[in-house]
Amino acid sequence: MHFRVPEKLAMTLCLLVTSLTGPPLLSLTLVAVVLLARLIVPDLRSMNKITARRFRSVLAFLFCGAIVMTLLNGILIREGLILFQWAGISVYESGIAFGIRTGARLLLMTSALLLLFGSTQLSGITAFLNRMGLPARIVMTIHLTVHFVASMPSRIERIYSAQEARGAPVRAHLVSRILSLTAVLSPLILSSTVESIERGKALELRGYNSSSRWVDDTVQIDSPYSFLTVFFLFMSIIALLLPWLLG
Amino acid sequence: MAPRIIIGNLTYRYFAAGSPVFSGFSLEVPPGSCCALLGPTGSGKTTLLEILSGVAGSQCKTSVAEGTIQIGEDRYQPIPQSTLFPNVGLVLQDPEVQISGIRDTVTAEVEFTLEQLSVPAAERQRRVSDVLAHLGLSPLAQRHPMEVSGGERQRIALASILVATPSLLLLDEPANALDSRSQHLLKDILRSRKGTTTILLTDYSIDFALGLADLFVVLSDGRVVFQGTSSDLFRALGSLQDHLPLEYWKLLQGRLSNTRVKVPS
Repeated sequence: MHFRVPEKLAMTLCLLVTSLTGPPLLSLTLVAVVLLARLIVPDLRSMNKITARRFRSVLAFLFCGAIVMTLLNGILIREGLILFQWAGISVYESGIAFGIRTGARLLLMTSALLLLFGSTQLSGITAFLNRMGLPARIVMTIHLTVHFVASMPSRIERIYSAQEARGAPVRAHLVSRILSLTAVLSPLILSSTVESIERGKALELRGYNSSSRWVDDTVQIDSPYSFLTVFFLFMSIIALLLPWLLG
Repeated sequence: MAPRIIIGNLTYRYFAAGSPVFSGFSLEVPPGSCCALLGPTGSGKTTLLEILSGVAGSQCKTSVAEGTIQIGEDRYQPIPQSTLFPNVGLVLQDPEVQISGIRDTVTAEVEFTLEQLSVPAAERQRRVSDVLAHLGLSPLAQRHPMEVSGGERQRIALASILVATPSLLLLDEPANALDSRSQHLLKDILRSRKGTTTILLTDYSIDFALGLADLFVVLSDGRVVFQGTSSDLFRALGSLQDHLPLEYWKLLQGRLSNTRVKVPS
């Protein structure tokens, strides 16, 4: 069973649609399937140690966040049965159900996207999209955006270090991190804007313009037609229609 | 063929109401030579390179210009309105920006330039391979362009432009943040291009340009305050004191003295 770019894109679409329309139990089951698939399907393994570490840390962070969010929802949404009480605080059934639904949705969406971007070279995805007829300018925009988002953590880290070098205790503890957000945000926005302009200039200086071609015709691009692609696309339609059909 | 550059009476403003970056600026660079643009921060070095590359006319639509620019046989009145790549190649100050980062290997990154020029695949591979070998980048061919050292990144940025074989090469502070070994390597590469390519580079401190450039041009507030060889510059340094900020004048004096520029008797 080979998962190439088209199969991975179709699978991600299917998982995203299911996360939005399916019940929480299905979403959580699919998260487990994604984690398992990462280990046993060679094509779905992380490209390198860094992406593997990011996959684990982001998912672990989200899992903890989902538990906290579920508990907070249980306390704040005061509807339905009281599941338990402790020290004057009541936890309600509706809030917990809402929290689980939202948390499961978030976990499945994130794991699906992490699986796609962690196991596939970005250039492979964009080359495939371009070959499928997406205009070069849109492909370039997608590519640069993803590249930019991926570089954001290191950019923030650099700004934190620069602020620290000036004597600001920006990373001393959680409160100082939150308080220093404004000090980090303005250089972040400014440096991002300047870099976007410079990158545009650099691309133009290398001959790139709206009519430019993105990929070489000789590059082997995966055929979009395979059993797995059709299967995942079919399942996406089912996941979209089933809630409506069941009323 | 390396072009002659003639800038005639150039006046340039970023906005119509703004103060001019250049006012009545004239310069002539002989074909195949290497010209170093020196000057304090804000003297117009980078702007001049951007005007010559065409990116200033293309990106800054509010700008106002007068005068003429001639690059080889092509005459622009007042300035080029679109990038002149591949005839003119500009290597930006920050190589991290010049490298798109959207390709996964150094080879693919350099090849991206030729893809934009619709060069056939076989020709592309040959030219990329040649330029990587010329710049000593062959061992890095399969590495990610962002996962290399600063000096190597600078050479990759240069390769991404040189692969298109521009006849006019513009370099904005090419030695910025390079260690001395990388500077020597880059200098050798540029020396080997002289004769076939006209080179214009900016250099805040004169260190990199010494021993490489044939012509030194000192700018201050958008005006040429000196034009000549390094020996001429050493001789004329005293008279430049009134035209340059004191800190910059002292920097030039220190660097020229340290490198013991030979003054003909």
